[in-house]
Amino acid sequence: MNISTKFFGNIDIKDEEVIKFPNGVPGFDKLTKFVILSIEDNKNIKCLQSIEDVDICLLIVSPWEHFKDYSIDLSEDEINELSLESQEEAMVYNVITVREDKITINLAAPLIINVIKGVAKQIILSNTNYKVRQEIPCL
Amino acid sequence: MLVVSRKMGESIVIGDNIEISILDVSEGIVRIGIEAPKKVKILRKELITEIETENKESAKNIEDILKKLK
Repeated sequence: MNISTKFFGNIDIKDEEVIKFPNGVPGFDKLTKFVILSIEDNKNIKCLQSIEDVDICLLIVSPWEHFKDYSIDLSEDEINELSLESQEEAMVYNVITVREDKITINLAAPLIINVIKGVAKQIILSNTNYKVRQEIPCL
Repeated sequence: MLVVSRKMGESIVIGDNIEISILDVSEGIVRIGIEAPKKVKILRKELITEIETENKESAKNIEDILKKLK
């Protein structure tokens, strides 16, 4: 499948690389298909590119690179929604935001991806002290 | 939208498993008690709005950092 991307031009991806967000992503409710693209020279940061809207691309990182103790509790409904059968099927990323003077990571709403089934959801954690805008020193 | 008036100590029931009670009302603040199965997600609406705003913010201004990384 050939797709347009915001930063990498037109690229070919395999059908199985498509990640479905059945309910969209908060703020982009109508966008349900994304692909994760690696950035050359940087293994930690990836791009979550919308397949349906070329302009929408989020920067994501693995939380444990920066916060070793980060932990997430998923509700029964969320586990069912993602058809997760084991922890190994889940991949976790958090969205980062680049601001004028700092970079922040949204620890309050991790992206959980079932890598086997290609379904994902941005889970908003309840009863958590994790911040939406947690500053990270550098990438 | 269904609108229901309740006094302190009264409650409403939603479906079979959810009960929302008005615990206290004072100085413009309503304290609400919610009993619901654990699988039901309960969130403050402003947190959802904040996450939406944050995602939109993240989609902006990323050219600069990508240039630096490339």
